[in-house]
Amino acid sequence: MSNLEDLVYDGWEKSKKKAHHPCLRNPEIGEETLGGAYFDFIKGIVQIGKKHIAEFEELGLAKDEIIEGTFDHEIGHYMIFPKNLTTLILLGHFAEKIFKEKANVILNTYGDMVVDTYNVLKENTQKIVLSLREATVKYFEEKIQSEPLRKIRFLNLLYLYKQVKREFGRKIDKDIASRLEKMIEIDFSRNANHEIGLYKYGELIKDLLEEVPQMPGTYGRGEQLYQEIIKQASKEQIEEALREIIKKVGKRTYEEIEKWIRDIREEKMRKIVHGIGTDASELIFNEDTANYYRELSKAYPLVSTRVPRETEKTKEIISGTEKWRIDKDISFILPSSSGGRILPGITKAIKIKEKPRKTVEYKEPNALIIIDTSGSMPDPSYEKSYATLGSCLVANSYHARGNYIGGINFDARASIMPFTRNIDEIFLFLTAYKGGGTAVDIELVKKMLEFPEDFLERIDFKRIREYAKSGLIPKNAIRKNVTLETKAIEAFKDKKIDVYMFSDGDIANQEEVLEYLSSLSNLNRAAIILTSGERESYRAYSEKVQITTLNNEEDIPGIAIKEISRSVYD
Amino acid sequence: MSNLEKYLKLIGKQEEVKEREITVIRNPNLEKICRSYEKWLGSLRIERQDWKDLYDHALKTYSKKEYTSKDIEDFSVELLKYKGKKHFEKTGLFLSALINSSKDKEFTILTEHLAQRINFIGYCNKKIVNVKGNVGNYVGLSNKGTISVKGKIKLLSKDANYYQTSKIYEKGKLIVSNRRIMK
Repeated sequence: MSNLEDLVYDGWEKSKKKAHHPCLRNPEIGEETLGGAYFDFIKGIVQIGKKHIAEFEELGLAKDEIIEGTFDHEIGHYMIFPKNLTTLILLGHFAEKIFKEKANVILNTYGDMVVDTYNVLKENTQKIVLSLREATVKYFEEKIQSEPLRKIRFLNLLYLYKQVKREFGRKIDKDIASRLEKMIEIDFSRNANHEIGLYKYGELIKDLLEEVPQMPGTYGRGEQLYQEIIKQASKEQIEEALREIIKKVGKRTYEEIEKWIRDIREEKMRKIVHGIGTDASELIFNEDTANYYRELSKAYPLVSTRVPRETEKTKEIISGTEKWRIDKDISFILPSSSGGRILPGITKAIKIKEKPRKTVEYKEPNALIIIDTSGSMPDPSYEKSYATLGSCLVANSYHARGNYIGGINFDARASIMPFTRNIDEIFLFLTAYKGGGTAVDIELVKKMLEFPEDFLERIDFKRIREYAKSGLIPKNAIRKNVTLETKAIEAFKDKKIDVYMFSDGDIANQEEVLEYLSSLSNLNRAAIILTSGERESYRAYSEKVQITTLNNEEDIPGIAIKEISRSVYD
Repeated sequence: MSNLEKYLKLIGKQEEVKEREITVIRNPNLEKICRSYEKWLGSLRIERQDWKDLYDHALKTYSKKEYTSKDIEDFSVELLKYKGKKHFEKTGLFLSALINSSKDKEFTILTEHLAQRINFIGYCNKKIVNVKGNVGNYVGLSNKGTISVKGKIKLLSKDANYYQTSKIYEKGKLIVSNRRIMK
């Protein structure tokens, strides 16, 4: 083994010890590694270049110091920032939206600062990180012919000095001093809100980057671009990251990110089947919305347990004999009863009777999901609708158990999805939105908006309706006129069912619906989840019909999962 | 320190690494604004209140203190922390309350970093408000000052009377001026 390799592995062990021995493979040594050294997020290996070591040696640093400092930094990218693909995607997308072609440089430098700040605050890495950063500044002064890039490196070093209360010792120019003052307001700690930090840092240095040609890749000596990482990541890694992202961002941002990733990876968007059999044409289906809720619901647990349940079955027994008729089964005939001849009405036959018996089976009820999509409910294609999410969670769990799912989507009229196991159809149906059954009280809105006296005659009704749909009109200005026809439920009488109903309440025939559900012979359990709290008229209706009234819509997924579990264990 | 840690230290297998606290100079006013905003956001009951109530609530209860234009600009950056919160889109009312109770005359609101658009920016405004980024609905409601938006604007109405004596700019172009709409 050459001397350099020994030094690299010694340095690697020392750095790993400082980071509590992370589970990482040994580093790879290259000739001219991108950026001198980098952490390969896809392979999970630190790459270090011989050229990088030699260049820093020329600046007066010892080989072992360069190697250890470089590893401390690269392990920091694995342990501190960005740590995972989720953060990288979120921040990459965020940075690109704001800083466009400068995004790579800003994100990479910000990431370096988070890691360096963490290392400089620790006693056992402080000295080495500072000497490496001092050498970097020297390197830029000598080899990089770009004043703005030097400024950024210098600014970063001064920031690290500030953190350890070290004075620079020379006069700092006015521009750098004022930037440093702003930089100290940025929180570079590992647990900080990185979007805020990245935005502030980007705003601080972006004007300096205006003067740097050919973005990205010219900063320093090249970087591993986040687009490359996203491109190289496996499908499973991307899916796992997206599953985390969907929990953190809203529907629109998620869709933007998903499209952004697919554009980078040059993948086609997944499409699902068109059209399902319903009785109403006004139900608006949206494949993108269905895809979104399908992914979002994967971020929540499935209740897929099957429990043995007592079921009533019958068995056939011989209960005696009866006169054989021509329309009866000939195999039960007793020819001896008529002297060997078969004579209808005289010859006797065995009489079979069905006797009830109790048995235990894994027979789970099917799910009937009733979802209110009148105008007072949020439009799932416009914003994250927790009622829609709750219904999707129910569908997922019942589907995983091997049961059928039926649906009623209603506003002033009800649309029906007959029992099915086609999950694409189910998601398409549950995420569809009607938006009717409500009217906006224009007089009240007018008062609220402080419209001029004669404004009502010229009001843009289309716009007002749009606002009502998006939830911008306060609820007290929305008049709801919705009934759920109990006839719609009759379509699901052939199978044993658990009913889940999501609504904001105020259904005109609420008592009738509850009474009807309670009297259903094939009902196992009904969970009514109401999203607008403080309604005294709702209560636990009967043993089989449970009503949960929520103040906060965000509680719906949790409540839905609890209700599904109760259907299994109660 | 646990017994195991004590033991490892005793046999020299565990060393203690001293770590400094990060120094971040925070604007004390910003912290106060954030606390007020959280309280305001948490107290919103849209079902029972109209926008004027929400604005008055912010103005009278939480925005009594006068903040500078810098405090308000810094707060607009911090809004990222609250993205996805219920009623976040109504933040424009809170920002307007801060602006209208400040002694400063000109303000910058940063929204380019926010995925969700903010409604009601410039509510009852009488000052100069520059917005860097897109705005949501109801911009310039009861506005008598000047609002300049670098991003996109969605006007509530084509009726200029609605905007009173305001001036609204979109990407540097005057689109509403003294009861005239030029968009």
